[in-house]
Amino acid sequence: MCGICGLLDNGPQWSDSLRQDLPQRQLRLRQLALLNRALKPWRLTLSEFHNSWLLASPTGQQAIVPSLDQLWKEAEKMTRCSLDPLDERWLAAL
Amino acid sequence: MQPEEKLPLHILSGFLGSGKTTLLKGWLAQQNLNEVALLVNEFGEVGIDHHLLNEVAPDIVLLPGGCLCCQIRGELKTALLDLYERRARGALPRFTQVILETTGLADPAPILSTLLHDRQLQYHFAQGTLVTLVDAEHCQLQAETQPEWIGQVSAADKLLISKRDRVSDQAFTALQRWLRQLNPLAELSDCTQALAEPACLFEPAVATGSHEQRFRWLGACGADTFSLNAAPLSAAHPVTQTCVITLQQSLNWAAFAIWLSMLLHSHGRAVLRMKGILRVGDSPSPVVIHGVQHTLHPPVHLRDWPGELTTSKLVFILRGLDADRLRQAFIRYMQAFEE
Repeated sequence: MCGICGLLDNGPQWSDSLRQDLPQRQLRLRQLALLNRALKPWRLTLSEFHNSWLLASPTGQQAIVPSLDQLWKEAEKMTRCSLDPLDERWLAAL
Repeated sequence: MQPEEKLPLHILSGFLGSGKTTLLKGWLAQQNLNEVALLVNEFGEVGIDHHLLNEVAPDIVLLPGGCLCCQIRGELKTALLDLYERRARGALPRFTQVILETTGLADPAPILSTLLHDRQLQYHFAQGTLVTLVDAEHCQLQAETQPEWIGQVSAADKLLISKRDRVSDQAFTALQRWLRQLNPLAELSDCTQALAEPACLFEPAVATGSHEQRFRWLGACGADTFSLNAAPLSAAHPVTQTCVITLQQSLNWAAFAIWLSMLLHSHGRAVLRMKGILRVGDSPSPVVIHGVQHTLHPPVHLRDWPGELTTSKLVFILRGLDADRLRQAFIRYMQAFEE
C-alpha cells in the first residue's frame, strides 16, 4: 500500500459487515442507523461523510470519525462523560 | 501484485524463571533452523538468554534492553520488518515462522496490538500461537503477587506447565484444575508433552488450522457440555471471573459489533481474554471472534464447519468486572436491538 492510500484508506475494520451479498453502501447505512440508535441517549448524531462518519452534538460540535474506536473517543469528548455499555440508564433509554 | 502469504508470528510468554529459554532450546533442537526466525527480548541491558540459545540457533535477533510491551514496541516493528526484508532479498533463509520470546514481565496484549494495528506489520505477519509457560512450583505465589502473571495466563492460546517434577502428582492435578478455571479457553499441557510433539507447539492461525486444531483452539467455546457460572470461578483468582454467554437465536452482527467495540473501549483492560463462536444472521457458517484486552482480531468464517451451529457462545475472562453485570447488560442490549 502506498503512503497516500495509507492516509486515506482506513482499511477493513473487524466491525464491518460480514455479509457479502448486499452492496457495501447499503450495509454502511444499516450500521449508521444502528449507531444513531446507540448514540441517541447521549443526544449525539452521526451521518455519512465521504466514507467516514461525521459526529455532531446538540451544541454544534462536530468531528470526523473513521472507526468505531475513534467514535467512542470523540463522543466522550463531546459529552464529557464515559460511554459505558453496562450503564443502566443507557440500556433503559435504548 | 499479490502479496506473499503472511508469516505466522508466535509468542512465547511466561513469568520470570518459568523456563521459556529451556523450552525453546529443546524445541529448536528438533527443528529445521532454516524455517524459524527467533526474536528474543530481555529486560536487562545485557542479554543472557540469547547466549544460551545461540548453541542451537546462531542467528537470533536480540531486541534492545527494555520490556517489549511498554518500552520498545517501535524496536519490535523495526526488527520484524528487517527480518522480512533480509529474507526477501535472500540474506536470510526463507523461514516460514517467527518466534518471539518475551521478557518474563511483558504483558502480551500490547504486543498483539502492535502486530494487529500496524499497517506494515499486518501486511506481512499474522498472529500465530500465544504460548504461556506456568511454573508449577511458584505459580501460586506469582498469581497472588504479580499482576503481569494473570495477564500472561489469560491471553494464552496454550498453557504449558513447566517444572512438573518439582511438585507432587496431587499438586499437579490440582494445578491443572485451577488453570482450567482461570483460562478455560486455552489448551493445557506440560513442557514434556510439548517437546514430545514439537510440530504441535506453535500452530497456524485459527483460520487455516485443521478441524481438530480448531476444536482444541476453541477450548470451552467449542464444547457443548461446557457451562460455568461466575460464583465458583471467582474463587480461582481473587480478581478474575469467567463470564459465559450463550444465545440460541442468531446474532445481529452490526448491533453486536457496536456493543463489543464500546465494551472494549470502556472496559478493555478488564477483558483479559475473550473468545466466541457465533451464529450470525443468515450466514451458513459460524463466525469466530477472539481478542485480548483492547485488541480484537478480525472475525474468521469457519466455512467448512461440520453441520449447523445451533448455539452462539461467548466466553470472557474478566479482571475486576462483574460477570453477571456483563451478561445481563449484553442480553438487555441485544433484546433492545431485536425489537
